[in-house]
Amino acid sequence: MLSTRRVATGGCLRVALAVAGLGLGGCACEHGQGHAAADAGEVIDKQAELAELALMQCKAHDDAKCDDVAAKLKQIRSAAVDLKGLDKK
Amino acid sequence: MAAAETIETLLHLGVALKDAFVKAQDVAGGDLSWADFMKSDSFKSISGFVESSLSKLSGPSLDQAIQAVRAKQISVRKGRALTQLSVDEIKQYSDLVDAEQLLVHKELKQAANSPTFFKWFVDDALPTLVSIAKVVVPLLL
Repeated sequence: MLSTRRVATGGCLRVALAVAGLGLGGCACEHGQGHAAADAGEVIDKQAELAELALMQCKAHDDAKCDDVAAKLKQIRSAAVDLKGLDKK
Repeated sequence: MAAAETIETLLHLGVALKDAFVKAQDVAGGDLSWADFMKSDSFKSISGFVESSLSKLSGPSLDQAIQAVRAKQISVRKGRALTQLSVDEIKQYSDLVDAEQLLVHKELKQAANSPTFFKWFVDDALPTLVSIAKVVVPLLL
């Protein structure tokens, strides 16, 4: 499950992104149950938007974790694209 | 079932399962599989509650909760860019997105009285529920 954990500290929004596999939506389509992968792709888009904000704030505060946040954001975007692709198959 | 009640049902189910699992582990003296847990007295003591909770989550409850969570996201954002939201509003929106992400999981849609589901639910879903419930439940009331 992709998840983001954010803690507002002194006005600086810090992000710790934990990527632990994708149990989202996609396979459910094959079984005719569950929610479409598009739902999962949509929600990951929202997570990406939040992560982009966190990255902006991270950079503004010259935080040492910026590179890590940027890398995770790339993974989130990629996951969203993959999930949307699954739904079209 | 109202969206707030769905989130609370999920949270209570997760807490009950984790609590019973830890107790069963203590009785077993350490390692315990989720399959063995389901044969334990600890699980039997909550099995009625578990069945009742799972039955509440079947039907349209999850879909209704997803729709309510999405509507509240729109209500919090009011068409604004994220950069225009206050820190409190970002926290609310972020927790609502986490709630949506949890609710669209296929595992939840296919919730069943099974060790595989219970393991996923306690290990993956419960930490998110604990994290978001305090903010999300009042928003959905």
